[in-house]
Amino acid sequence: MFIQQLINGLTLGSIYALIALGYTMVYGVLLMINFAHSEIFMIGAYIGLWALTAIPAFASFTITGFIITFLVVLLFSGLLAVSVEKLAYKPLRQAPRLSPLISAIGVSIVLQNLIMLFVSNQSMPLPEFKTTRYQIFSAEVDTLQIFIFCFSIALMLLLNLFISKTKFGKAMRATAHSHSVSQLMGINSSSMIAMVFFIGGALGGIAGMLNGMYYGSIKYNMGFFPGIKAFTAAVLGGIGNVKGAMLGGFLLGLIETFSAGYISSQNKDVITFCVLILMLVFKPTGILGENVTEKV
Amino acid sequence: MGNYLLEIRDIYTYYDKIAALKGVSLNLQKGEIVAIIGANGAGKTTLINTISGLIHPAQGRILFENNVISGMPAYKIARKGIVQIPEGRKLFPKLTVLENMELGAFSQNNKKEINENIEKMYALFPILKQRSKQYAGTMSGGEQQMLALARGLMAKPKVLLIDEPSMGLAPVLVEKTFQIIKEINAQGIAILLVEQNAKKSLEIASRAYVIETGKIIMTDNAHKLLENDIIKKAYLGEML
Repeated sequence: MFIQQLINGLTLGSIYALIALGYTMVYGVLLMINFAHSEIFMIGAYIGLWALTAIPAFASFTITGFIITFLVVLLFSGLLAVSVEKLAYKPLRQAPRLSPLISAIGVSIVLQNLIMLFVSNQSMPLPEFKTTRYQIFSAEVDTLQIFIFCFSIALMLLLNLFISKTKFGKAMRATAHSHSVSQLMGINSSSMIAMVFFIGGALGGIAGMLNGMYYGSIKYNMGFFPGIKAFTAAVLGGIGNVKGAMLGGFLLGLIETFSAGYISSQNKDVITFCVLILMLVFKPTGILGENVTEKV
Repeated sequence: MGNYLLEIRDIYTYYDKIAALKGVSLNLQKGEIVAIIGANGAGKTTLINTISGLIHPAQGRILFENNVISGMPAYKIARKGIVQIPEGRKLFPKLTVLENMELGAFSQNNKKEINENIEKMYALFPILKQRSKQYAGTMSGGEQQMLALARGLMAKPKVLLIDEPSMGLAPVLVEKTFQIIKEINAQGIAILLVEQNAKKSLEIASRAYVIETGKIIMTDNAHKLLENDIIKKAYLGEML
């Protein structure tokens, strides 16, 4: 049972971690919680379904078809997130901090309702993927779980490389520290913010697609719980901290599956959120969050 | 009007409805160090930030190489070669010393040249080489000032706007900082220097402007201002 919960936890954690990155990166540059992020996650799954059905039959369920589907999800979820920022948050840049937050909640409701009205208010099945099951001791793991885990890890490694090594990654961290000072370096902070929304949205959309594949169906309200949990994961890891979001995501996935397995599956969410509360009481900055003070 | 490198014509800048600059005009020629002296709250930093485009003037114009730059976003002004070294250094504390310098060169695209410039900075400020992998926020005030200067120079500026470089530094470091500013200027970079330490800045400047409550009240050659009784009394702290 231990190994089984570990496998399930890592799969779930991969998805939480991918979503959490979007929350934490946006918080990093704008100090706001993008409540519409869970809807990008949901729409990512719908884009994936649409791409899977739109791809000609000869290509679907092949590696090429798969790659195309994920590229489509990545591109459109990213662009959707950027458009949300341009329309709903950018005009409020000078407004009090509560305004974009309320705007985000509004966007979330609008997006959910758009899908409900114009696509479907019922859950929609995703085409079934052929998977092989492997036996590890007493536990079982299937190819989909392995794929979700490896794909997420690969994306996170890529993101880490981008942030730590590239010119735009460094500019992004500079913008997170200060918009005005980064502008003095010739960095256009608005395009950095757009870039953050694109990356966060793309990862969120992919997470939605993976989530849909894992559970086999998607629905207009599927973003709510994963969204809240990924947000929790971001806080757990230290909001604003990219590695923290990854760690927090996996940790939350594991806490959830282990408490479901060993304590009570009915109360797994209660236990998960108790962990969050304890964390906030004893280390409010999260596991990796820290306050570096600036010397003057 | 002539061939000034930087020319500020009668600018007014407001914070909400309060005027911080009330018709400031000044100019900077190639190769000059021009000092702006004034008390706390006189509008020195506002002036620097208005030139940088972080604040936009409500009236008046700013010209750089005879082109209007007022109204442009700050990042575009920086890319033109008007580089600010802000008050209190404003480094990126969670980025390494090297990364801070690389960000200074954000507007530069020639990788080879950037690397050569980093080596030049290491030669000018040896301490930065030792500390290159360290977070900028963990360095001492003096080291941070050196990094702030290096980061500014990485942009290959035509004009440096330096705001209060001596703030919070020990006297020996103040001396060194002004020495380095003179060296930078000797390489052909024009400098607009804002300082509370009027004596030090007048010593290295060729000309100076005195700003008081958002207005230029006096301008002259720096050595003449050092001899001026009003300046001596108000800004140099000398008893007459």
